[in-house]
Amino acid sequence: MPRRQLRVGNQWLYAGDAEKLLREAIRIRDEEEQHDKLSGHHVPWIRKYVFSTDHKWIGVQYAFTALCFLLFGFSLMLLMRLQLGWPGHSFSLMKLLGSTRAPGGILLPEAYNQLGAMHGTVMVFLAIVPLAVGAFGNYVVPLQIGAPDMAFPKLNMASYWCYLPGGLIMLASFLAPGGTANSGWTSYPPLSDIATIGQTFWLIGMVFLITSSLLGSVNFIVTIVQLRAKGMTWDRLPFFVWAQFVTSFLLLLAFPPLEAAAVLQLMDRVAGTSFFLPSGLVVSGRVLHNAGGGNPLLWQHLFWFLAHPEVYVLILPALGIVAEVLANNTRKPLWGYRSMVGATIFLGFMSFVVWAHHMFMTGMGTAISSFFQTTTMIISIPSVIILSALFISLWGSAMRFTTPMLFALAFLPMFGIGGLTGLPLGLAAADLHLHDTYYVIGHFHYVVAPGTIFALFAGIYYWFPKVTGRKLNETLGRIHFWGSFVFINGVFMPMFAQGLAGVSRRLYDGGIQYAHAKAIAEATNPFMSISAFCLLAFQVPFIVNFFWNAIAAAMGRRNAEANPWQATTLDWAATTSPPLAHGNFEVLPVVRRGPYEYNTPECDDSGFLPQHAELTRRPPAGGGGGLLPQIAAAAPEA
Amino acid sequence: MSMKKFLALLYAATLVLAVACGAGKESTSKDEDEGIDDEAPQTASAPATAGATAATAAPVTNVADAATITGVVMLTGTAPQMPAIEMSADPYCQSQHPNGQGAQDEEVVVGPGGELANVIVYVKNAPAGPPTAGPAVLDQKGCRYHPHVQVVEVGQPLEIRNDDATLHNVHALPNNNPEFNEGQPVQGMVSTKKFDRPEIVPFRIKCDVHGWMKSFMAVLPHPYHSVSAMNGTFSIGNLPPGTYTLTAWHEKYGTQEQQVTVGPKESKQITFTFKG
Amino acid sequence: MRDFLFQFMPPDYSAHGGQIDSLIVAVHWLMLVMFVFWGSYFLYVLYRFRGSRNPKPDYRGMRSHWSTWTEIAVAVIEVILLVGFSIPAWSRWANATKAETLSHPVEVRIVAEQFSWNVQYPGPDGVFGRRDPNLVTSINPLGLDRTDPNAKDDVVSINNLHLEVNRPAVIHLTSKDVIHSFKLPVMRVNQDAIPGMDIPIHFTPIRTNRGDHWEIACAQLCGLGHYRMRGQLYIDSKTEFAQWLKSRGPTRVAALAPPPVN
Repeated sequence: MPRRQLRVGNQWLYAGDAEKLLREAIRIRDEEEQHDKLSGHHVPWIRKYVFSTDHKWIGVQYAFTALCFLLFGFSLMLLMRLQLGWPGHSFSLMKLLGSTRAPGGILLPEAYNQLGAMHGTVMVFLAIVPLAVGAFGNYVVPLQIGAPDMAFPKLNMASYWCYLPGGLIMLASFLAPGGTANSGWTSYPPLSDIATIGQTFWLIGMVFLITSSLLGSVNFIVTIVQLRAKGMTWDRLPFFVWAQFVTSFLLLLAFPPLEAAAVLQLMDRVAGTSFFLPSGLVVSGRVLHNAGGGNPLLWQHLFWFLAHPEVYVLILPALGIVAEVLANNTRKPLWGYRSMVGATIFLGFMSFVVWAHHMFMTGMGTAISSFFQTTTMIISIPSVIILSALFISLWGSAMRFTTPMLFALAFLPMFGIGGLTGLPLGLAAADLHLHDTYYVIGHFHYVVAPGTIFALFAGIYYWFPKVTGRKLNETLGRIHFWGSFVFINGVFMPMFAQGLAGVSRRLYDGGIQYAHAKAIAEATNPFMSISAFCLLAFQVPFIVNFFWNAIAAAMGRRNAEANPWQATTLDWAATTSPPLAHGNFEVLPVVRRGPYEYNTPECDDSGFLPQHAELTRRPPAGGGGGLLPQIAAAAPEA
Repeated sequence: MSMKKFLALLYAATLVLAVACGAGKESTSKDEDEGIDDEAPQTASAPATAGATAATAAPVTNVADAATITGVVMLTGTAPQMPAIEMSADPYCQSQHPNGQGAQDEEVVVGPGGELANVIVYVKNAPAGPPTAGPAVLDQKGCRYHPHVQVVEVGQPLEIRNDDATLHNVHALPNNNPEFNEGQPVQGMVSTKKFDRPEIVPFRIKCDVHGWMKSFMAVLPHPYHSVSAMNGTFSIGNLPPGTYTLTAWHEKYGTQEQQVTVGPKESKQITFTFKG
Repeated sequence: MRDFLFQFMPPDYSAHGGQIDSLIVAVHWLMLVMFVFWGSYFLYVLYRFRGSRNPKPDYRGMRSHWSTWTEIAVAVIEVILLVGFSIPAWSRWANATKAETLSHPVEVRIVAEQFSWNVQYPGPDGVFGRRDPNLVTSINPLGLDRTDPNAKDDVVSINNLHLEVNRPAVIHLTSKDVIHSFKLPVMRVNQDAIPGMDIPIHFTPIRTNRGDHWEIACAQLCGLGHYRMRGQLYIDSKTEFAQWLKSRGPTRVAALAPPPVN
């Protein structure tokens, strides 16, 4: 029998050969399916979008949740400002709080304390840290170091799923009898020990949030140490990655004391212990029988041992974002990169030995207060170095005033004001007059609101095209920026005058009870409150801009180029809106130079040389201008 | 068990624990409240028995048959001098009592003939009766509570009013009901409270801003109660005929009881005498 | 600068306050200089190096390292402020042993509670009477044990603190329940009152009220009444102070004498 042949494509094969080919085809298909399964192309919806282990999606989850909390914390502040501007007036808006908090629209003092405590807690622990570290850190760090994902994807997922319940427990506490926590975000015992049940929710929520941060920080450290791409040496790391690296150490080392403290306070409240209750307490005319042997200052030490490094957790990622955006929009390298990195590491170390400058009024002797004043003055130096380096980076630049750049530029003087006003507070003798006044509120809000939050906005405008493939609208962005810039100063600048006048913080009526505070409080509070509402109005363009473009991008309408800002760092070497699979890069990039090689003598007219780009043609020796090296970028063109 | 399942379980357990702890606190705090010794005298019977008695008592009789108990409360011996309360701690309060007028301590209020006011008189083993209509009122005026002593009924609304242009906080320390502590920062504010459980031992309501302010309140499951007036008199009407234990309570002098039997439409006169 | 800041700051009538105010003024000078310096640099740079005016950026940027010198200058000024002003001022303020050597001070104990300041003077014997938490009632908020011989002559008052002008005052601060903070804005005095701790502070008032209304403020969140936990501060002349103490003397003590039976 003659051997018949099969036709495959335009070739004729014998059956035996065809069978071999078929087997090979099946094997390859199986292998591909297996690979797809592993790399998540066909993961079920719930594993892809809910319990995702992909750093990018977790970053998006963090960002969305944290932005919701940011808006929520902002709303709490608006209600407080409404009360402070016009104390004791009835507002229908207040009725939202329910009749137990605001009967007839008049806010009650205990409800004001609830708003104050939760504004602080939500902003610090649920909005800014998760946005700065959870969202930006998660999304950007692995991309910038050229890693396929975080080192521990499941730990990363666990981190988000500790954060969200923590936040929900905090929210649920508003429904507790007696309302939510009302002892300030600092929760000083014994006040917090004897507070209503909302405080118990607060503590449990904190335990979740702390756990979340710990899981995240371990992950960041291992990722940055282990998963840097080939050639990504420590001195080629973008400053943002350095900032996140130091931040992670702060989280890892500072949070455990607070976790312990939260558990101790929880025991005081539910198990009748008295870690923070000294003997002989008489509360509201009744002897507190479970009190004895404890010390309320213990809590303050444990709390501030966390909370001062926490300040740097709030500010370092922001500095990182600003550095990225500035370098990109000045079109030149950062000035003094090495001293900035050194200063950041030093700042990290020093932040662990300054905590008691929050406690100058607790009866400190000269020796101990001198120690903490000295460390506080020392820590101001690296901050000055970083800020100076950022300012000087502007020298000789060709500034593009894009929206992210506007926010980053505004950050510099605003953070400067925040930093400078820290000086009198860090000197114990000056603090004697200014402690716990609105001066303090003004100081740290300048650091965190027009400071960190502006930087976070810069980051959102900057990386939005990376995440979604769409650029945010520039006009709306500018309206958002200028409105926010004007009115945020309207809210916070008068606080310094109030603080100098000695108006204490956390006063339900803004101080009008007191002779020394009445005039200044009545003169400035309505103005500040109106500014706060104008500030809200100018967030609307952002919210519209954000959701409009996010939805459009989700519907597949992408309009941004792969590298819209002509940036040099590796995050822009990955494909736009990288697919939610492990493996951000089609080919793992190899890093060949520092992070900010804009307008180097060896780059072409495009004016930037990405970290991974290969110069295909060596410049001839002694060559002058007119060199046109060809850049072989790996991915953006794909 | 795989690692994944174990972790999921651990996670669920932690959540459950968290919720349990939250709920646990509520009961703990209640226990604490019950454990606290109030300064008020505690000689009356346990509240639970009183509640049970009321529930099983005879139904409301025809009002036409109703009896009335009236009487007077007297104090023998020397009545203590009540000092004027010094209100200089809050200049507003002081301004409401020029020369200390109306600022006398109300612990013992005695008439010229020894008539003792502010004594709660109530039927201990009373049947259920028609609840008193309308709210009870606790007024804060001139940094005093008006009235100083009163009885509200289970479920009856209690209107707490601030007629002062200063902050008062109403801190109620009941034994069986949840404690509350509410600020009233603005003049004219009213807040309405209700008690779901009886408080046979009168509890204290105090203001933490003005330490001298205190008021006593009993919560009863029936309408057969009265508080002796300035002339020492009290009156309990609409009472179905029967034999009752009548209890009188005073914040300083404690509790007394008397047996009394009333027939249909009968009007009985009772005198309680406390020793000063 | 001093005039500018004093538009806002309350007047200062204590012996040590001048030192504190000088420090505040000096730090604000430093802040102003730094802010104006960097602010003008910033504005110039925004103008000079905008992309449309300077399209070709300079890869190396600034060559000079003068910023190092500004950083060193800042560090030096901070050291001066710290060593020259803050530490001496704090040492004067916080040195509690000094209280013992003060000549003939007015000694007062202040026990903070939600929401008032209980003031106790030791009386002629100069010894504070014993306090017992179990004796606390609405008319004896201090829980003063009147059976204690040392307590018989003690003078108490709520929210009203009288001190003598030009005579050092030593205040022993503590609290019955939660943490409060004792703040006298016109005296540049601020100290937390912490339960379980007895913290002495000292200062010398240098002017009488002369009709001005001075207050004690609470500067640490202590609950719903925190915002109006306010006391009155009176700085009396020697005779006024003696008269006031006398007016609060034995008669009041007698009125409060019997602790309630129940």
